Amino acid sequence: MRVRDALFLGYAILAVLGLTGVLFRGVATADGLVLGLPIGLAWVTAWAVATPFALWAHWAAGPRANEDEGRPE
Amino acid sequence: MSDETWILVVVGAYLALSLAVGWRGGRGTSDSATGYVAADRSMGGVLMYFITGATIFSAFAFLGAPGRAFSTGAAAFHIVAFGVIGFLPFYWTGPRAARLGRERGYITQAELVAGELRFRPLAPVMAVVSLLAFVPYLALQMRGAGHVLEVLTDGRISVEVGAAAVYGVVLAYVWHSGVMGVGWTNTLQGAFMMVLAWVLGLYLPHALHGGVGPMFSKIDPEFLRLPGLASNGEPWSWLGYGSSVFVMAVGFSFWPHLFQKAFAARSDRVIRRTVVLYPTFQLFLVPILLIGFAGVGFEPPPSQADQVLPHLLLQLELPAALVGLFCAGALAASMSSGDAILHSAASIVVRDGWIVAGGRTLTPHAERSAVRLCLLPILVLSYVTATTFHEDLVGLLAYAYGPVGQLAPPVLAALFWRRATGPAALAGLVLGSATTLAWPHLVTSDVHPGLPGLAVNAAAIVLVSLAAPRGSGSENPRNA
Repeated sequence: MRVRDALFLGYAILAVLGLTGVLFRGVATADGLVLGLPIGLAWVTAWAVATPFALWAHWAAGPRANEDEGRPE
Repeated sequence: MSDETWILVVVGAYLALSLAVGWRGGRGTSDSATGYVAADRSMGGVLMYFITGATIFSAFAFLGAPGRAFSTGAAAFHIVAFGVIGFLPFYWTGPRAARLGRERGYITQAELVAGELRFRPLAPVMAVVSLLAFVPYLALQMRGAGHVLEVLTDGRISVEVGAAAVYGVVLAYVWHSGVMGVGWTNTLQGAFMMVLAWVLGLYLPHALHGGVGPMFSKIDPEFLRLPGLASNGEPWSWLGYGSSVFVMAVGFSFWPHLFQKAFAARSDRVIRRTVVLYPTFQLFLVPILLIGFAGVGFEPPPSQADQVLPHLLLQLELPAALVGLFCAGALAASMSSGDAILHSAASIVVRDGWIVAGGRTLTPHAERSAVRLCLLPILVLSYVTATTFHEDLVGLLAYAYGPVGQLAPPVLAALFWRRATGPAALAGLVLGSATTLAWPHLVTSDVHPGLPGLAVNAAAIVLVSLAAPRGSGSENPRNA
């Protein structure tokens, strides 16, 4: 497995475990507000913000040779 | 003009605009099923972003999500959670499916799986599972549209009449323009929804509580702590919360109408870019949840949790034209999912049920006509479901996600596993779906019934595939 795939797989596993409450339950259930939002909502929002960057990093690190299949843009 | 008339004028203008955009959207596609269902494989980045985003954000998002936040507190956060991870598989499955579609002419998910595994009986079974999910999902959209009009006209337009009027418009532009009509209206509706969601999500907490932070400061911290409350008002368990997030995430990108858009994309790059940007669409659920929390403690409370948004709008005595705009936004959410489901369901009935399963052939023009003919019966069936099923909106959607999640293992096996066989995929699908449907009647547990269904499904595919002798002719032909 390529490094970028392994890194992204690690991120995805962490996201699944974190968002289903298997990991980081203590963080997700803490009391208080972050930027005006309850911790639980801030927690899921943070994953929504971080995930496009993780995907973009994976995409940007890969070869482009096979990406333009189909009609020309 | 009375307030009610203003609201109806704005809603009428929105429906007319949707019809015009959808009607014109179909220009330029070929007079064939590939043109009508897969846009001649020419859809670009903007349309793909909005068609995938708006298709998923439905009446459930605009009405069910605030209702869930209002009634179950932190449990509603799972709606953001499953969407964040739900579209990730499409980053890999989408380009591969698109490539196979270009090579072999696939335009539906079931056709791809049956074709890749060389096992025709899979197509009708997957079609049935798809329709079992589509009908309640489409019914959900119709009820959402009907609810909005009923509440905002103080009951003078019933749920039944409102749903029929809105979906008459949907039927017209889907019938005329196919997937490109869906794509262009979804672009209009998606942009409209995002703007309205942020405006409402920031305005209502400010108007009612003085801001988002002060609003949450007034609410019992226990109500805001994960995993929140179950739909019956009892504390939800982490097992229930986590399994719901997981099953709904698995089902997310395997909804046939969403997966099918891989066949419409112009290139692999368009698909990947859509997946990368997709969580930005998910962020629009945050203000939607704020709307629901704004209603906590509000007097008088709404009669049903699903009606918290229209209830607040009416109670605040906003200008009627503004209320009409918000009403149109909720209708946009309903229509942007309903049109894609309707269009996809009709194509599945014809391509998977009639052509692939029945081994029949139709000319491209005749197939396009057959898909059009199927739109009305599917719409009527969903309408009957919408007017007779009285579960809350989110409950109806959760039911729909159960069977859809079962499509994931066969699709993944067909795309990525060399040893997978058609009979194994069929066994997995049937056993997984049966387990999902039977589980609530056999076991008392918080676990989402789709989770044991997925386990049985995946195990059946692996075991039956491995039991088949190599070279038996039923393995994945790409690797034979």
